[in-house]
Amino acid sequence: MNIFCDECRKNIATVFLTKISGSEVSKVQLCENCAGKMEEATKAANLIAFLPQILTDLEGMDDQLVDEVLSGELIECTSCGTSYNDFQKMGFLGCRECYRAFGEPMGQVILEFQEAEEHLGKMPGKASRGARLRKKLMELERCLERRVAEEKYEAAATVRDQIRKIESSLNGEADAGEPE
Amino acid sequence: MSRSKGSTTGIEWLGQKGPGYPIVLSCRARLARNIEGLPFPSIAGEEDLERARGIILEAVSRRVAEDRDWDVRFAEELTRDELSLLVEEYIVSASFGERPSGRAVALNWPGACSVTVNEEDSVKIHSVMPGAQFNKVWQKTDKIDSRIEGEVAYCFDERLGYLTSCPCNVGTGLRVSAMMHLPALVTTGEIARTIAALDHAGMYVRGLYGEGSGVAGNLFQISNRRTLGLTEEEIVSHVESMVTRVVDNERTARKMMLRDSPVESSDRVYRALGVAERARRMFLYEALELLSMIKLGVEMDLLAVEEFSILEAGVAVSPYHVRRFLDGDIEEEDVNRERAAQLRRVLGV
Repeated sequence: MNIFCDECRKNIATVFLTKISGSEVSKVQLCENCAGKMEEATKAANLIAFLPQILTDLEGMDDQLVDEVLSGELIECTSCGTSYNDFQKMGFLGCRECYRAFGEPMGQVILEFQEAEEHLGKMPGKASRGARLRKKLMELERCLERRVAEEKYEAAATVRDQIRKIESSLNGEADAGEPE
Repeated sequence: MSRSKGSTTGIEWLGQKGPGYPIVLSCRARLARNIEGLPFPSIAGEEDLERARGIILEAVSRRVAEDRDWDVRFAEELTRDELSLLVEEYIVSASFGERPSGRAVALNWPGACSVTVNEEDSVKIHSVMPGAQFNKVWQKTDKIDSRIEGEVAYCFDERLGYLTSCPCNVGTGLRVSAMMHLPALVTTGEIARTIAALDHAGMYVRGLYGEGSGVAGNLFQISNRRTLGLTEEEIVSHVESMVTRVVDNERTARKMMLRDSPVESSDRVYRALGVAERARRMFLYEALELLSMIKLGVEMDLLAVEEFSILEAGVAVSPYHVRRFLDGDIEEEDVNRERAAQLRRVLGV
């Protein structure tokens, strides 16, 4: 699937609409900006949308459109040849290296869509001990926050001790020369 | 594990009742994975697609299937009719047959699980269960994943987790969803507020056939949007709590319909039944709407029609399932005529 706006293909889509016209049903996903424009340009007569916004074709063309079509990140993944523009238009990455190659803008996309930067879930057998410890650390930090919020201070202290232990273990590994 | 071209079907879960019935019809968990050292399917050439297919099917055969009832279908060997039947039964997505080269699906009918190869990601592992059994359906999927992982090195990054073709799946690669029947929320207009709230709470709301499909028959698929920065258990429990609230909203809307507009409610469901009984030509969209209203009427004790499964009935009136009753050169008008007859058969009217 594509996470970008159907109109500008540049911003992340945050507004999801179902458009029913006669027996034709279609889905549209838009960024706040384009959804706003559509709402202004509405001819609502034959449309029922399930969300507060009712939409029709985007009519306005302005300087912003020029900017959207003719500018953007000029990056290409050297490993598979997928460009950032390909990713924006088609929604797919080509290989694992794309995540690294698209650097900062990719980080932004992930942060904006996922509201997170780090994996907390399942890990395959091959994941390193450091990665496992870091994951455990994040889990414990969240657990500590909860305990404090619940005013369970004794339990919180136990969690804090566990956190310190893992931190020192991680620092030990860093000192031993593991790359950061 | 056997390889077959045969057409369907063993979709028993469609007709089964689980917790949350009749509002939660089924639940599903899906994991997306890619193979280390191979490009993602969107840009992979035929050779790499074939390799990926070989690696995954081998792992499924050795670690998952273990001579039980797994069945493999290669996309390029399926006819358009066979492919369409799989789509209508929710086994593969509509895009599965668009670029069949290298694609395959391994199915376990009794267990309602499947492993799809070379769609958006190299591997997609699916499990379905009737009703709201989110934890169980996740565990079932996780087990298959761990077994495949015993043989295959997945594409994994220590910071970002499992790397997927779209960053919307990165991290856990987990999408947990519920198929819900929400006729009262739609009839009362409350659905708009519910969808807006779900959207705000980080949930996707989609139609019957998933991504890119429209809403029909008041059937909605509700799933998590975020896949990163949460544990799988957190995702499962978030979806579960959201679905519980939607169920509660639908129940309230049904009570409101009966209390505030009893005549209108009964008129609506009786009209639906009347059309279903008498119509001699029927489009899919209309058939699904009628089935939804009639089902609501049965559940609210307004109609004396035998209880039926709306998912099963929906599949029975879908185009390629209707075509199985027809021979020779089939025109769309023939399908529409046969669908009207099929609808009467399904309802026993």
